[in-house]
Amino acid sequence: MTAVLEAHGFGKRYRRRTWALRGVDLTVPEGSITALVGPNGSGKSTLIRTWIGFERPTEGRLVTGGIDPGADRAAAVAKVGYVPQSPSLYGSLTVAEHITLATTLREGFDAQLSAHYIERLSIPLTALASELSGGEQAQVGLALALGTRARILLLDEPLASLDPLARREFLHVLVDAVRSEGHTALLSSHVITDIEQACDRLIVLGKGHTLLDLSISEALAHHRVVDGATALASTDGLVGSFPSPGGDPLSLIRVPSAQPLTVDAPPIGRPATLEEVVIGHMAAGRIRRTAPAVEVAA
Amino acid sequence: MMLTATRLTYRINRFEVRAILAATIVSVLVTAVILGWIRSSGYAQCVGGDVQMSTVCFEQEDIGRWATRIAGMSLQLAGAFPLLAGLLLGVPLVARELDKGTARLAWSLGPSRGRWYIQRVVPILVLVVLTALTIGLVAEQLTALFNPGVDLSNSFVSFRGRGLLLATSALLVGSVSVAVGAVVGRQIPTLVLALLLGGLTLLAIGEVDRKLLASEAVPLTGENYYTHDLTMGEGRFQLPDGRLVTWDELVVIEPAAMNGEFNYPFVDSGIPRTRYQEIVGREGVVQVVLSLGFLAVGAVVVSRRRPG
Repeated sequence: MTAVLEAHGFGKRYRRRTWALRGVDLTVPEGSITALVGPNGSGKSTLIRTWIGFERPTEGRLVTGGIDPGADRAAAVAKVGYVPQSPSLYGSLTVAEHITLATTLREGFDAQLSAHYIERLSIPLTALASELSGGEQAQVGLALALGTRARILLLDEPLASLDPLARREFLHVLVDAVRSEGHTALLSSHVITDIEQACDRLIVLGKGHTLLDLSISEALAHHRVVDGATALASTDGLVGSFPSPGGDPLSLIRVPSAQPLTVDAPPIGRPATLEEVVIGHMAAGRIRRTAPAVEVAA
Repeated sequence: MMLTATRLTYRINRFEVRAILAATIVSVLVTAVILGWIRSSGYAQCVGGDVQMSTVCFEQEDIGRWATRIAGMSLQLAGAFPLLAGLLLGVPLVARELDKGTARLAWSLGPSRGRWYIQRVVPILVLVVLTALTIGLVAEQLTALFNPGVDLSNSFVSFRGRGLLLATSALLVGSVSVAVGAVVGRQIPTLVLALLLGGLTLLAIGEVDRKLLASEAVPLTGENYYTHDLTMGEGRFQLPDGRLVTWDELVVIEPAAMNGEFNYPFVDSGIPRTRYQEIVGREGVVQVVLSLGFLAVGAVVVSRRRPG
């Protein structure tokens, strides 16, 4: 499958000292909806902003639809529809005027398509942006990004401040648009249920690099959870330990496949949920691998 | 498309646009009413340098005093308009978009930041120039009121306080505000820095021009030269070869002058009124060129910076 977003040895350093990301290698295949997750400060926004040319790599290179955004930002922007965490609409313009504005800024902007998505959500085109709720503003931001008819959609935590209903509606529009138009979307989010609902691929960033890059089904098939902390630290399979909702320690184990063991050796633990896969890898991005092991519960 | 973009730019900056338009319209209306009354009532002869006191002056004294006071204040305020308009319209143009994050939306929608920059900057700076030019013409009328019978196209009365130079000064302050806003990306710091840099730039232009004009000074001999010509402030001694020198320069050339042993005429020097249009044009061109320079800096910064 063709990759439309690529990172090769990508590194980004701020203020000459702090590396936000370093040595990142990953690809996002065409036609996928890929979730990008990671702890706060793990570099998700930096990666997305560099793909659209808003940041320049300190080392390595990125590719956006075959374009190096560092060398030709305008061409990269032309390939991308971008939805930031805060849609930052013009408060004194109506929704319809935002669509008009987009037509003045971008050749070939599909005003009708954009208006169609907005009307579908019952957002009045005559409303001022300052009168819209956060969810409605996010929807307008998404509709503007879809109106670009760009093949690649970069969504930088657009769901962060939305209520569950607004999130559901946003994702519904997104998935519908991506599936019907054959787009590729990269969705940065902390909300695991949203990822399960919308995405077919998962990338976890942590400690400045890629911790996991798999399809959702592979991620679920290749991970199991055992009670206890890091008793299996000596094995290669331990990913990381983290507390359960009740506070008891759990450990995420990576296994070669969904059915790795024979009848003589029954599978350890239980299948991991997507949330546990994500949290386990995020914890791995934070803990020291050499931490002392403790007993695993029988 | 440009018309649509222009309309949207005015909508985006509607508060500032309305404020400046309102100030301009109020200024024009007030001036029209005041000048209309002063001229129609015959009170004009009671205002200005060569006042001819007549019964009208006494009969209309109460209203006339207020009218001339308002006219005087309007003339004073006109001089501050370039700074006001340039800052009010120029500062938010780029700085607010970076501050509020709308630049991020616009720059992600449009591959060309240059197009965005032109769409924002041109309509607003055109408005700045047009309103300042209007205020400049208002100031011309008020200056004429206080200087009856004077040919203002050949007089340095209210130099830099009327006419074309108000428009070019406003353009310069607006351009400085745009450039500073592009670099700083925050509204309040941009306002402070643009006020400082814009004010200093205007002062620097005035100072450089003063030195240049001092080198071009000639003895002033015309009627009322101290009012209508541009005097250099400091009197000069005219040497036999026609050169004009200051006292400090004279004692270097002629040390005996320290003992009062010289016989060179002391004359007022400056630029004669006949050069008014040329001097205004020259200073206006300098301000426009500097404005274009600041706008180019803003364009370069916008093309390279992060969207905030």
